[in-house]
Amino acid sequence: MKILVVDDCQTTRKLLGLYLKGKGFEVSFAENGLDAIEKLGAGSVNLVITDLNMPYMDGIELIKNIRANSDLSQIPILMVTTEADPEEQQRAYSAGANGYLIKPVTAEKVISNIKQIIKDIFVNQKGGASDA
Amino acid sequence: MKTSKKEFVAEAEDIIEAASISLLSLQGSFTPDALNSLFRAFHTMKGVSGLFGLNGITNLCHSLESLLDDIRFGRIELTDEAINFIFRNIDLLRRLISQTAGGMETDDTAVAVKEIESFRQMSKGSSGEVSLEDLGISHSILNVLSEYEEHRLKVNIRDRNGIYLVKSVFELASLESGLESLSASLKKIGDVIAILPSSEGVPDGSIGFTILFGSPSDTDAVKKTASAAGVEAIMPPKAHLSQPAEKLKDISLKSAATTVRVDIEKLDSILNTLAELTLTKDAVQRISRELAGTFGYTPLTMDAHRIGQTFQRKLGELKECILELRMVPFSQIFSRLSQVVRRYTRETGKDIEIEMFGGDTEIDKYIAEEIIDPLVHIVRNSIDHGIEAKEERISSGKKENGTVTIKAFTQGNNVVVTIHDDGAGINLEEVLKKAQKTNLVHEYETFKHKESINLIFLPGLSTKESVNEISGRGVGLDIARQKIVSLGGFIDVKTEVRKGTTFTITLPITLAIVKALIVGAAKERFAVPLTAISETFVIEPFKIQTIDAIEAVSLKGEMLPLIRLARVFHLKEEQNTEYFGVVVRAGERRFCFLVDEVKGRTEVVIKPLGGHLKNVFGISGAAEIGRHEVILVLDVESIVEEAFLSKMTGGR
Repeated sequence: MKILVVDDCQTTRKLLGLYLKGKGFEVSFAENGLDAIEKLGAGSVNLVITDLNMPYMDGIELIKNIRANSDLSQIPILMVTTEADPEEQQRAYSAGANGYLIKPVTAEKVISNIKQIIKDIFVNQKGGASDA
Repeated sequence: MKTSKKEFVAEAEDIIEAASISLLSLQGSFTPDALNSLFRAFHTMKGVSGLFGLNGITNLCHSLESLLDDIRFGRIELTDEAINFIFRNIDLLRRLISQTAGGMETDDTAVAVKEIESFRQMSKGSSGEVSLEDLGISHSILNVLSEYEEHRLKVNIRDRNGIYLVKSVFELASLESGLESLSASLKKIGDVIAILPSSEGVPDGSIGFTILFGSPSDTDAVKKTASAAGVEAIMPPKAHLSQPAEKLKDISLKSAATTVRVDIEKLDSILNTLAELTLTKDAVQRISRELAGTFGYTPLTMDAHRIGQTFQRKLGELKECILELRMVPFSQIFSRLSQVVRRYTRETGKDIEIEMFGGDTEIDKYIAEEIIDPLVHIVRNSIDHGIEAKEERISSGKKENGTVTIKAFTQGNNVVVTIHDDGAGINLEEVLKKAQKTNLVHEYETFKHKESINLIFLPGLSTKESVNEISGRGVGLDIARQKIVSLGGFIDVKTEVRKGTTFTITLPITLAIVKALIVGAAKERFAVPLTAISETFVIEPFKIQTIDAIEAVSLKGEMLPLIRLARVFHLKEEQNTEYFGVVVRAGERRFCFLVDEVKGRTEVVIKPLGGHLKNVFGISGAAEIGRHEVILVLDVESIVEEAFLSKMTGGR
């Protein structure tokens, strides 16, 4: 499983990357929304973890772009940000985020959220399949 | 003496700054408060300068005080002119103080004081009516002045011109031309107020004149212009004082205080730039080496080499200077610690003597701030659990009062702090029992004396319950240890039953720039603080032995437990024909980290981790190497601990 970590802070990218790799994920990185879209274009990313406030293109714009792109729209997205404003959180969810974590956050929490998101999607797909 | 003078200068400058600000606000709009604070400023200055025997400054301040009193009581109007006059005197004060700072003892202010007096005289009465009575012009002259001439005299006084009597004697024959030429030349530099004939001491056939002359020029200039004529200065021009003040303006504005307070963040940003410069230097040196390799040792390549050397040396000097700025003496920490101890001994009712040594040991300001809490924890532990109750001490033949001794000293690139108590010591068996009970260690694990004591730093051992059960310590020691490790230091403890316990904390002198070894494992790069490393060597795979399911490697006869760094982070290990061993110290023991690559040592600028991701095991921080490149710093202590306690060292 391949995760794209989008954050303008290199320390966060490195820390999260090291931790996720240790958990058996394949990890790639992007510095901002625009960079992320470019990296996503290369394909094979299964999940996106993104920061909110970033230069060039912020996290919410990134989510909107992903959701608007028919090739990428199904990718689960977890937002991890220092932004604690409930309104921003609402905006992220409205744009299509699957999860929202407020920094500082423990690495364990990130993993458990990723697992939850994957589980939710799996359940939904199963539900969809039974409908058909 | 030198210090107290420095203090005086610093205080005086503060006062002058305050006075300037008050005066500026008065210039905008008049408020009694601003006027009063200005008055207070001069009053304080008078007191302070008096203490230091600077009579000139004292007198000047006294006069200024009187002037302000006049203004306060409405005797003198606070006109722009008055404000400017006070400003000029503040400038004078500033100059006098910078002279004092410079070691000059000239604080003769008689002229300025006289000037303030005449300013007060002039300004008193309605609309700045000038009193001519006190000027020292003889009545024989004043009485014969016409109303217009008197007015001109007053105007000259108000304009701060010097007032002179130019006395000249002419032979009758040359009277007209002589007087003409004298007054013509005088007029070039001032105002001829009145020409009065005089007969005093004039030989027959001659005629004497006294010219009442007002001019901004000083006495010497007037004398020069008046050539043969005699010049008597009644009042020197005020400009005489303000002119040099103008010339000295850049000096007088310069602060004479030699200390500045700087935000530590600013120093950090300088260090960041410095670290980048270090990389530039490395590049320059690399290029010069490559040039030498290609072209041989030509004069040009030698030159490049020398420049690289100079660059390195100067950068080193600069770094040392900046690091020195961040240093504070340990006594700052001691004074805060002793407050805590006093309060704490009162609370516990134990009479404890606290001894502190090494107050002048210097340490980075940031570390000093961060280390306070861990130190408080440890000292409180020593008082709480280490030192026995009085009765117990007496019965075991110790002196009644317990002693906690704190020492700080420099050791190489580290500052070492030891906290010793002469208490009961830690019962290691109980510690181990407790650790097994709380499942922190497995029952079958056996520990050497040295190792089991480190259990007290385990988080689970610091519960309330354990404090009651274990005679030793526990409260917050895990947190204290964590903090120390995050600062790049380590803590060690030695205990002897009934003799006492000693905690030894080793800290880097500065955090800002740390020498680190860059290693690579499973394609990831990490920085290992050089303080934790004793050596590096090459390991061929066949040299790795497995003893009791623990991997180890022999180095010069010593068996070092092996820790594969890739496994620590659960990363995919690489198969190499040779690896590198990095020997690290943790407490008393040595371990070997197995890595794929050693990329050389470099200086890194430590960045705070806060606000990111918490609890990433094995990482103590992040560091910047070069422009915008971040590298994670290994937490050697916790990696070793985890490996050694969970037996992760072996191939599972």
